[in-house]
Amino acid sequence: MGYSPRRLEEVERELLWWGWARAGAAAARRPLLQGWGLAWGPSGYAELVPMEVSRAGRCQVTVRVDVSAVSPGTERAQFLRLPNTTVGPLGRPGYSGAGTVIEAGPGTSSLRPGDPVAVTGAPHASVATVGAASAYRVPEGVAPEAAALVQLGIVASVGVEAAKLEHGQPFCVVGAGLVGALALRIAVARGAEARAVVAASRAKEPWARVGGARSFLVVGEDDAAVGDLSAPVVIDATGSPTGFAVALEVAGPRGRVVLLGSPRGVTPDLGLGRIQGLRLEVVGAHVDTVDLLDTASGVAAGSGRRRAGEAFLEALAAGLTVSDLCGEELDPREAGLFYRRLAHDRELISAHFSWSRLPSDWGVRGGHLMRLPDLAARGVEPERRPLVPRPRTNGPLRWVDPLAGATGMLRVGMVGCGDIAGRNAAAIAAAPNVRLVATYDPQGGLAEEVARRYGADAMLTGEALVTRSDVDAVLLCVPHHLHRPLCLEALRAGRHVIVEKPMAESLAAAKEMAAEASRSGRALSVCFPQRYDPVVLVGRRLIKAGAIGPPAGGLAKLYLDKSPAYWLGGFSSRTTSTWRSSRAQAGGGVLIMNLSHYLDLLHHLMGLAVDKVTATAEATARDGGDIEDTVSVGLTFTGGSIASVVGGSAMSGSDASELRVWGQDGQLVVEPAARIFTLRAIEGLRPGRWYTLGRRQSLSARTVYFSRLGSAIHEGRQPEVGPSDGLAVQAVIEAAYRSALEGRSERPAALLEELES
Amino acid sequence: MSRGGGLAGLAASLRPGTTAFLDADWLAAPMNTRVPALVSGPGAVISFGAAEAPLPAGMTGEGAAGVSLLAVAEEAVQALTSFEPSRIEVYGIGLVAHLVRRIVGCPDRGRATDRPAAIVDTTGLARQIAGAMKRLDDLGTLVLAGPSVELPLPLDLYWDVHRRGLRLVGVAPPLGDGRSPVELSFRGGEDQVEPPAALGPSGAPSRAHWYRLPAG
Repeated sequence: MGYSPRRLEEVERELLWWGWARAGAAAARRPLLQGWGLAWGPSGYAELVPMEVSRAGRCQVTVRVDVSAVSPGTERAQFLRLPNTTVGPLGRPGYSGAGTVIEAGPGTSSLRPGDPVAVTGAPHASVATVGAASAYRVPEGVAPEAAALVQLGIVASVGVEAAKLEHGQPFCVVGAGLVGALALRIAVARGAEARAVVAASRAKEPWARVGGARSFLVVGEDDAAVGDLSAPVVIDATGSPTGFAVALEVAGPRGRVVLLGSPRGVTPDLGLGRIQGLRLEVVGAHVDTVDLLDTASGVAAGSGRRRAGEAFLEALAAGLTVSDLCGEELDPREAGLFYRRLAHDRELISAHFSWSRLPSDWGVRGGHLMRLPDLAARGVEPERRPLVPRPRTNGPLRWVDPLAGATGMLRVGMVGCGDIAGRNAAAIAAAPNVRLVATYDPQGGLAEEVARRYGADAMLTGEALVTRSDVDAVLLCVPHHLHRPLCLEALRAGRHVIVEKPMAESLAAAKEMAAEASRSGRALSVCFPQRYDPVVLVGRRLIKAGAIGPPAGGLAKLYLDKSPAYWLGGFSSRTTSTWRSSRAQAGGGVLIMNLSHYLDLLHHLMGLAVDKVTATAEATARDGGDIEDTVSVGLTFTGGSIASVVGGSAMSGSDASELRVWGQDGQLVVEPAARIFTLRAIEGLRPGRWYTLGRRQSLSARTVYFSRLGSAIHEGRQPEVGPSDGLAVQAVIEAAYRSALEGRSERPAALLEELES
Repeated sequence: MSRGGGLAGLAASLRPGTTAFLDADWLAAPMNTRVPALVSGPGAVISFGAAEAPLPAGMTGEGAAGVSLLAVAEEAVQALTSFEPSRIEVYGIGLVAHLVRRIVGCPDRGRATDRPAAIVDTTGLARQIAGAMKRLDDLGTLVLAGPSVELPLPLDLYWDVHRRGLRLVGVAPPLGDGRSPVELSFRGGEDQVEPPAALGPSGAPSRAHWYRLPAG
């Protein structure tokens, strides 16, 4: 936990919010309310955070906001921090919404609790306290989404006023965004004739047509027609410094050009020659100019805005159509995602946050004046301590008993009782629907030891085990090169087969095993038990629920310092084994032996097929035999996602691993400390925050693996980890070794096809 | 028109028998652009850029140039009818600026005490126009009566034009639409225009409001 400049900025922001809310409460002499609001953090991201407002004081109303409208042009410019934009120190976007009055302070006789209102100057938040002059009673029949456009309606009205349009007078609008669309409709409603809308693309043509535009022209496509428009009045609603040149192009002699959109940057050329040559008049129209006009006219500041707001709402009640301009409904919890999209998507005309989509326990409630600033609760600082999700009964974080619904009783005969056999036997013993009935190992003592401990019979030959009538499935815990012959023998004897990972020492062997399983109609499963690690189980559910969006990348790192005994002895101290350091017997080194788990997990979590593999692999250790102990693999998945897999088995002093997958909407870390970060509204998680994914499962993942396999076989289903999963990993391993050998990328699918031919 | 940039370029481009007439503000045109000029003779025509018009019978080239500049000033003044003279400022030192000041009745030197409600710019220079926008009062009017050179005129229109509701009014250049000296001659006014000072190819202009530059 460091105090980085970003973190300090977040602390500063929290202090500002804290102080701002309390200053407001002190000024109003009223207590606080707590709700939720959007904030743009100093790191440049948007998030939903708790916020406080004062209850309504004199001439104020407090509104429970149902809908807040997004002004895409303005908010995009602010979010991207473009020139000529300002975001206050509180970093709170939004300025137009609609909801219901929940408190009316003294001096606000025209509004009462329960009144539907539209509010201006209120940021995107579930609750707002505003001056009564900024709250407009919503006429009957006007939808909240439409009323929430009130501030934008005022802005557009300012442009129409500045245009001084007369009844029947032709005009053009340059820019088909929300403000342009509203200005078009307001002007048409006042009797002017919309000759054309000129835009950068056709994306918004439907809105222009609905608004009454006779033609819709696109810059770059219809330039001749644009130049022929010769409009007496042009409203430039582009907000682009270059849009002004188009507006001048559209204007006719002695025309009036209204600069309604806020130029975000320097206009490259004022166009003096055209302004003079055509004797044009250019008029600036910003919402603040209404106040300037009030002052110039000697009326109270704000009365012009008020009139414009009321007129807009009356126009809505009278039938001004804006329902198509309200845009998509957004969950405020997904604000981070939305603003990222808004940054890129210039064709998004409108959207609105629906505050009623927040969970019921996120409602507006009383705040505490004496609450201390929550200095740890802001921003998206990655180093911040993750939150712990509350126990859930629904959603992807719900507790699911992995053994629930276990069926049948799978009787297993184990061939090979050396190093890994002990773990498998223990896992089987803990499974409610799997039982070890027989064991075999060329070293009879090993088979007897396991059989004695778990109540099975030690067999003298492998054939005797395989042909026992009470053996449903044969579990192969033998060196990799023996997987194929023993698997084929067991399948041909009518037994299901469970094989320790990897599927085989080579892709050819694995392919033959899969083919035989298919022919025999028996189940073949590869033991990748880490799929049943509780973190992987919940992580996969989260990914399927959209927590990270479409997977874009993955990373697996495994740093091991395998002792000489691992290669030349036996890691369980029960037997001597040297096959792991032999390429012919093991098929390879750290990649096939250890990283194969991670290859399977990447495949399992990302749900994508590997299209291309690029790898380097080296044998660097003195006692490592002829297999690699250092490997780096680059994976490209179908669709373009990528992953890196790096590992070493001779890294002195190392014992570390990392596994993470990510997408545009979030990131899942499985190892070393399991956690999830999402920008999506996922049940039980607050977007924009890290959450730990704790282990609540005391069962071993292997036990779950065997139990689920037993149920699948009993119910006549394919195993959850079947031959295709084993082949997928095997093909990637083969491609990686070939790539490392030949120095070029390899396609796993091509290797499989090669075998078939 | 000039072959090269600046005054020397203009002088070099003049055909024998022609005379160029220049508002003093036009001499400030950037060095790499052509200097705007009204050019008369020898075929009884007067031109300004691509615009060309016959000289009215009995009117000299100098007279036609004078009334053309007067017409620019008069059009600029038309945009100022709703403003008190004390709230108008004129940016420029040339004949158009001088005539505007004289017609409106605002002081030749100095500035209005408060921020002006209107400014007439006769320079066409980016820094002057940007300065005028800053100086103008909210909702003010900027009359653009300066020459338009070929260079782009980059300006940030947000803070002043858009945010403060300024109004920009374009005044057509000399010989612009409806500005034929023949038409202007019926309105008279030649006597309101002082004679131009002589200008050599090397420049060194005096403090005159406008200049005459004969070919050769």
